[in-house]
Amino acid sequence: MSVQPMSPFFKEIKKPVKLTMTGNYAVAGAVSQTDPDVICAFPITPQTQSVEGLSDVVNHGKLKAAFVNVESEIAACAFSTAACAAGARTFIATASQGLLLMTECLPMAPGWRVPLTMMISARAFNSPNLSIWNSWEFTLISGMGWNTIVSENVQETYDAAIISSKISEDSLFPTQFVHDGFIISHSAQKFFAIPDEDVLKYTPKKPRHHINTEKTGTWGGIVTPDYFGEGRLALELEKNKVLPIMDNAFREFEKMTGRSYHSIEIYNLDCSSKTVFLTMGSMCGNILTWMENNKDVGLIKLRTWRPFPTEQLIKIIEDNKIEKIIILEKDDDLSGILPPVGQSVASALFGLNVVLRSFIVGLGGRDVTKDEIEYAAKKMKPITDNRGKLYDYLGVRETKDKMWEVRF
Amino acid sequence: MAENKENIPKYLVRFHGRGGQGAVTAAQLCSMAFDGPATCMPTFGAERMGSPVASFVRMSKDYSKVRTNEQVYSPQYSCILDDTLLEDVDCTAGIVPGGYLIVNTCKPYEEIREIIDKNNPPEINVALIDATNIALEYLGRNITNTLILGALVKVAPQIFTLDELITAIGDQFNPKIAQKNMDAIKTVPDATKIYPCDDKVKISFEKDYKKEWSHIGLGKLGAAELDKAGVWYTDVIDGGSTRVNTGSWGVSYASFHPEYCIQCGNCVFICPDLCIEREFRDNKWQIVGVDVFHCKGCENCVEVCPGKKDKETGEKHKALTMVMKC
Repeated sequence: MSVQPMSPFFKEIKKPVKLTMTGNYAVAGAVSQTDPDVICAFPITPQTQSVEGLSDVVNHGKLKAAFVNVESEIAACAFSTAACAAGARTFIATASQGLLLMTECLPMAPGWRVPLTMMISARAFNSPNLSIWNSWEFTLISGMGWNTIVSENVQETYDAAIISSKISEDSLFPTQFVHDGFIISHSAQKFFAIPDEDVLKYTPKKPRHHINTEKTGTWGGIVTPDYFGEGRLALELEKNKVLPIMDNAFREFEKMTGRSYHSIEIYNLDCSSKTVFLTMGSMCGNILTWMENNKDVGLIKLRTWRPFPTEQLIKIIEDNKIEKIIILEKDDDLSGILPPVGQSVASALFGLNVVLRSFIVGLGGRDVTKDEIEYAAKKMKPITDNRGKLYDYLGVRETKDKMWEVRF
Repeated sequence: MAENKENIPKYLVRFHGRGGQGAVTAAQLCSMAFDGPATCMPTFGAERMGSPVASFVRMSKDYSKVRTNEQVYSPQYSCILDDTLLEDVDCTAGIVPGGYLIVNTCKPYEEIREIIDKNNPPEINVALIDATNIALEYLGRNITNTLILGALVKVAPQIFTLDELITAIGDQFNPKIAQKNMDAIKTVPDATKIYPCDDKVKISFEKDYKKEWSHIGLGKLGAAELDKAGVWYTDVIDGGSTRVNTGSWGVSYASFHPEYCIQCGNCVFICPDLCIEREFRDNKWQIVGVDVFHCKGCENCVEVCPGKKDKETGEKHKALTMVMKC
């Protein structure tokens, strides 16, 4: 091969180093630094290069991990969950239809409390047609007990791969980290890699429960109505402790690298119009560049998507006296109610006196430019209550010569 | 302070190539060579070898200007790796007045200018470089992505220097290929010919020239005009490859021999590019030929064709065979 994208990770990284890589390869590098024992994933666009990159590092001999080839995503997920239950640090990656095929296996990892780590290159579902480009399919089947963090650029997704590994181990709930397919996964950006030694110190392998012959048990056996509800409540009680664990992981990461992350990141919230954008992923970058020349609007960036940081969001809204929220999201639900991000925000802020509208943008890889951002900000100005339709599509054609007019 | 920040230039470069020519790698090399924040992103259309692809680079010393993940709509520099693309796509689309069009070609300037002017671009400079010949001489293959960057250094020395570019190439490729590229690239700046435009037109590195909603593409069907959204009836919406000719990269195409066709229709269903042409004759659809402009030579149709025995010789012949392009 003439190009060797993973070569910086073939040898030990001894001090912080500046690299230029695509999002997927950066993730592969980060995962190789966290020293996984088992890597098992099935390739699907736009996730492919992350696993490809890892196979390169394993083949080169730097990473001593079992690289397991399987026949489908459901096999990958079943295999990984079981490997993780057996005590291995396990990495898995997928997107779109692959995530759908995994759905049957997804709830098992939180049920067994095994710290699996999964990368998702967000891509659209195949409806109405096949699309390999970016939408937020993961929002439609998120939950089930998986932690989810979303990244804006290559640096963040590189860091997220390392942070996720720690969150998984500390919380004993599996963690997904998401970046936008193609927009980040195939975009080459500069980022700083962390020395191997620091990464291993940050993500130590701790003793935890696993399948063994000393302490035997049934993993995933049948449970009668006598116990199922109690089991679910036990999960819920433990899940409530995850957000502080995530915040702690972010804090310790900042101590190590100086790069500061939070479950919710805020920009320019003391703006004059008391209106903020709320979104996550790569779009935040677009909004921040646009905000350079438009200082009267703020931005709330969700870094943690699941568990939803409800209390932090309420506190931010109340402390900054925010009146209006413009939600931008790359998913729709065809269900007559707010789309997934809108649903989560609305239910988190239920009872607060805040006006919100959800704009569905950038479906199937369409670019979200300053036009959409400007339009949404303008459209929000006259709106003063939460009556009527709360969401609409933005940036699509109604007919050959006319754009779809947002109707609230 | 704030005033200074606004003056920090933002460089936008677009690369046009065909799948496999390395336009994406060129963009990556650009962002690696630039000393400061830079992002580069490809557009992924039809991901097949030979179809037109574009990639972008956004570079600025001011991080907030390149934090956006938008694509580049108004580049200052547009680099074309293959001059046949000038006919297929509008390589000057959105280019800023006073910007540069850098073309790999062996044709004379007048001929190139004639093709460019069909799209009515603003006042722009043109730089021509016969990179293919240099590539064949030094690399032995027609891969011109690194060489076009040498021409970019000639027209825009303020972005990065030839030395920075050579360092980036050394980081990206394995040593053997890197060395060949480095040797080749040193000859490029001298071989680049620049045809400047009216010198009153000053190029702007700060202003954003994007036209409103230009990224959506009005003129294509809208939501209200789609019948069943998930079903693309071919008489309403063209497939991706019907809009773009295969071009010079295809080495062979299928040829149709009606005398051996039994009208089974196998080829119609297997052709990935809808190249088997049919006509409605005698109350039924009949296969009449192959659309050679869009056939990419995958041979699937030849594979599935059952063929027919020749009446005289008794030998079995297929109705579709591959023909080499000359």
